Amino acid sequence: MWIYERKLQYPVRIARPSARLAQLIISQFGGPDGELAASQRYLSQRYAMPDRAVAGLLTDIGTEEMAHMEMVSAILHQLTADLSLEEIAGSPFAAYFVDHTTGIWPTAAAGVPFQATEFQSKGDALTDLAEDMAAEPATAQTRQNDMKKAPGGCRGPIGSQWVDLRRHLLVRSGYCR
Amino acid sequence: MPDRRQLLLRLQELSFTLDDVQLYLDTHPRDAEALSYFRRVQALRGEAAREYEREAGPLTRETAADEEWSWGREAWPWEREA
Repeated sequence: MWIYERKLQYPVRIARPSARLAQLIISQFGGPDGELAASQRYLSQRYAMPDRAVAGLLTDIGTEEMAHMEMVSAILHQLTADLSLEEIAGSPFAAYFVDHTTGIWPTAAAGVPFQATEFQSKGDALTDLAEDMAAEPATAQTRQNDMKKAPGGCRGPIGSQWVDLRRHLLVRSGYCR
Repeated sequence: MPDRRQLLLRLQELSFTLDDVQLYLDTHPRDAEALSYFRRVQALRGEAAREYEREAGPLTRETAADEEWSWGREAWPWEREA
């Protein structure tokens, strides 16, 4: 059971809409290393975790990934609000727009729709943890790739103030010693 | 008097702190220092939430049953500010 709290985990205030940037950032939602995959990865894997403490950790991380998904979706929503048809037609976002207009739909930047094959749930705690350890830096790297493409740079959630992934990894690896 | 955005930011900072310490406590349940830090921030977070809700409406359904149902009255968190 989840209860919705009516706030974002971190503020999202997009000053200037950008179809081009939205087309890249959408991978953080529905791409192979996106937040939708991340949330479903942890929340699906927890049932096979025999250690109750770590099952709690997987639940809490999966829950936080849903909060990240909401922030990314808010970024996309605000980036595509109030765009003119001319701005969209001349951008890489046009191909997405033809099917979804400015609706938020999970897909990778290259147009591959979200697929459950982007994460694994193997029924084996150690196999699943190994996948989690690979997934976290992959997400961080996608985010950095996006930042390089952002006009004028990015601050806030897309920058260094987001979750300190390294610390979380240390917590997890500390448990698995 | 702090405005709504400042109240929200304070709430977000305290909540984020709890999110992070919660994950730590999941794997370090007997760390007394972390536990007392969690409780301290939790109390501050409770105050910040009540203060924010007085200005900006309900955070959850627990406080949504006002004179009328207030869940859909205020802006949603993803809306772009004018």
